[in-house]
Amino acid sequence: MERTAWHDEGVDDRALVDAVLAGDRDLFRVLVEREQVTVYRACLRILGRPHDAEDVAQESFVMAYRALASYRGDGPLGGWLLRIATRQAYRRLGQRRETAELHPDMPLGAPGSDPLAATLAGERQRAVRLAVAALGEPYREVVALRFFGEMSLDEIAAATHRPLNTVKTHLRRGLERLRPVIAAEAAA
Amino acid sequence: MSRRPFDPRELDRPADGADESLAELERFVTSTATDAPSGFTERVMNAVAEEPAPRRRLLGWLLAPSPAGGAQRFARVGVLAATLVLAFAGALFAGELASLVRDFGSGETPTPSPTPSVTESVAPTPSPSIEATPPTSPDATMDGSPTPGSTGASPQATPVETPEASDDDTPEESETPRPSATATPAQTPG
Repeated sequence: MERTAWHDEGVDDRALVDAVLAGDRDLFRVLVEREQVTVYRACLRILGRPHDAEDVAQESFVMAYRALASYRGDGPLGGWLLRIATRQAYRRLGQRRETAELHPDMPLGAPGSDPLAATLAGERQRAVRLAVAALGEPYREVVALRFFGEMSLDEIAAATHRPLNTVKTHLRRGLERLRPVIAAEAAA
Repeated sequence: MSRRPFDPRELDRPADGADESLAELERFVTSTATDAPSGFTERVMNAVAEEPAPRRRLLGWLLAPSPAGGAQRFARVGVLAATLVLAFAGALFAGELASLVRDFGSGETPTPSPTPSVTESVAPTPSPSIEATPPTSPDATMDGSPTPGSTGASPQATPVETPEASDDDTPEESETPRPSATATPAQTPG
């Protein structure tokens, strides 16, 4: 059964892409099933709203399908996809900035029964999200891929075509810049 | 998917004062580890079904690293080289064809057309210079205006004035002798 072999974690990304490009559209499902959790979580962590996250995650998969021929195969397909998704999510976040205050984000995860604790948790999550969003590039991308996308630094280096040491430097500087911003967002 | 908590040792050098933000980020990531909504895959595949099939671009195919290794890569480079040679040959052929068509269509007209244009351009240029120099004698001004006809010009006036004109207009030195040739018709009536 060739189909089951595709579901293996060790499936060759290049071969999967080549098969889809050769016309086997259904094989794209393998990629969706394999990466949907990571992509959806990353979008949710950036946007803070499940509905928006689902929308952007779906949009990112469709964009990846359209641009599949541009995948060069020199990094993990999941990283390439996550990069598309995080960019799309930040673009969406920028578009909805104006209405953000009218629709405060609900706390994600298990809010518990205590409404006060849930509100505080929601405020803390919002502070972190906005603090990362306020970082300049390339720090924002590296921090988002490492924490929101849960990629390793090696994977980030491969996906962004940057040397590993450069990625480490970007992450360290991003974390250093994040500290006062998180404090300010939390205070606000 | 298993969570991948951040280890500060991932960085060669620890970030200054980033412990607090790291802890906040880790807390945030842990609290937002939710699964994708049910039916997500089907919705994506339905959206993908409405898209046209992605096509591999030629350049992407040529530059893509091949899992088969060197042989396939070598074949791709061969295809690229053949494409370039064909494109070059095609451009050469098109150029030759265009020049042939141009020659065939115009016939002999290209060769005579430059010479009249040169003589026409030369003829007016000396005439103002001749007008400029002759103020010395009233006869010269009379000669200068009818130069195109050159019928009433005296044979002596033109040879004398042409050297002066050639001295004034340095770029037209080579052409100034030609008005002297106009003196020859003047000689014929004389």
